[in-house]
Amino acid sequence: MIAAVITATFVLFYVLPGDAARVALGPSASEAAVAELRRSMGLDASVATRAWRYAAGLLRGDLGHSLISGRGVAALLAERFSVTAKVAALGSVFSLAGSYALVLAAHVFGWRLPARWAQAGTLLPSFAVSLGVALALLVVAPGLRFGGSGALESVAIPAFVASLSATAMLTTVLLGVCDAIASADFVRSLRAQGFGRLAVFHGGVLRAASPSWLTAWANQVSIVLVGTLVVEIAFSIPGAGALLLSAVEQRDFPVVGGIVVVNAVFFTVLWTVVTGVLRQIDPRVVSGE
Amino acid sequence: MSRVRTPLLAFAPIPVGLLLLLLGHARDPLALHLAQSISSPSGAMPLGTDPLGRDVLARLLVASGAALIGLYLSLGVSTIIGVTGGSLMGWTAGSWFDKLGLFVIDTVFVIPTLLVLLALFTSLEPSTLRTYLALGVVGAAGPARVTRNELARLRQSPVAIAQRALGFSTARLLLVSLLPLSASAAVRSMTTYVPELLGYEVGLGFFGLGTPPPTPSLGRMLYDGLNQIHVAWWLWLGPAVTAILIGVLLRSVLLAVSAGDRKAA
Repeated sequence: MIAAVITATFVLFYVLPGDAARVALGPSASEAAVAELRRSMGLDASVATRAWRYAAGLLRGDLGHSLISGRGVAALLAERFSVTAKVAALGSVFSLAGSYALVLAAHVFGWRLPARWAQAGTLLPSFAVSLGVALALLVVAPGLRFGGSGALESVAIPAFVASLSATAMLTTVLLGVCDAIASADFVRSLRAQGFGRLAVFHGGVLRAASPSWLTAWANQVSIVLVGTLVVEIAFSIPGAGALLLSAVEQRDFPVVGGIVVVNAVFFTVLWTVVTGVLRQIDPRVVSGE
Repeated sequence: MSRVRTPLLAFAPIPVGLLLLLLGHARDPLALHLAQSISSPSGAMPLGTDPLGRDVLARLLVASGAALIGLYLSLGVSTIIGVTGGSLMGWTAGSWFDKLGLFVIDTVFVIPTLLVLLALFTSLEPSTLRTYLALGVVGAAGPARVTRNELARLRQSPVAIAQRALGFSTARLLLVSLLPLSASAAVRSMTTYVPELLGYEVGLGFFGLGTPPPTPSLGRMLYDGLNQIHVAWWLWLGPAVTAILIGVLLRSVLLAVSAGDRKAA
């Protein structure tokens, strides 16, 4: 999967743009300047040579250089993603914890209203939810511009906003599975043996539902990440969101390409780990079934 | 074979979207009134004006009409690609084609799709048609997986075995008997992904890579609203509410289609 995405990125950013140098410098740049940039980008070499250079660079951890600032993409990403990764990781944990709490309330204690709201929340685009809640917070509390101070609330509040959609989706999935197996034989026999409601939930229902929960979570991490990028822009946090926004506006191909490659690698690794864990929980799980 | 009856609501997005576009263009979404930059809602400008003094109501009408029609057509593209690809995968379940398809679908689900779309339109020149075409292709992953699983199951079903024993051709079995049985599930699966597709549309616009300016798009209006958030609430409130309404409308349309299918089947 990683190889496929890297190949696609190479084609997209290094082969497809008719003339990346011309696009980067704009239509008013002189022909000499374009030729100069083309040479420094290595665009005058053949496709095969460039593919080889690109692949060799990736293996050394070299993602190329920004067309705008000239800085190494790898260093740039490391700097910006260190902020973003914290928020997104905390957001992913929030979504797990939040869905657990909501399902516990709904399934065990019969307090279903919050879970209903979460189910309704899955009707909304996650992008719009993150952005909308961030906007609403900014209106209510105009001082919420964190500027990457690193303080606890500057990580926790954005993480909470970015996690909302994922929490809603995970709650819907988990509650659906829990309710479906609530009348299964093994659950009823656990009850009959005198186990309390909490014990049955944790020892039986939640364990049986955990493969679906974990699969949904792995799919939602990318939603949390995109939410984080948006929330960062809204709260003026100098993370990967701001980097992406400026790179896209300035057509800084190496930076956008670097962001895509790094994310492809990360999410492929995450997916591989989750699939492995799923096999441990339930050996019957085979991908695609 | 019972006739598949599609409820009228299924076609609603086209006339509704056209009406919105018409109303919006009647008010002129592009006219600049630099003297009235960022003025609050008034009788002449019910939703106020943006920093360039353009009519926010007109821009909102045009953006939402375009989004509604565009996303509806994207869903059509998703259905065609998803059902065709998914049924071929399901029919040949276990083959290299099936495995390749499942791999592609997994990739779409696991990797942040919005990032990939952003990357695509950083490289290619963004255009309205390309935006909705790309959304249609990405949105095909959901129905493709459902159709694939349904057909892989139906292939072994008593219906299929009986019809094969009766000597029906593979094409007839596939097209007339099995596909209609899996269509409703495929359409229903899309109701889950409609909000995400809308989110990608808004996201592309937000990052400036959707419909190119000066034509208004919901995402770009939200981005502009964010930049003026402490100055002008009317710049972001309208697009935010409209985005939600479009999501709800498209979802009800899909639910109506899949309900109609189920009744007929």
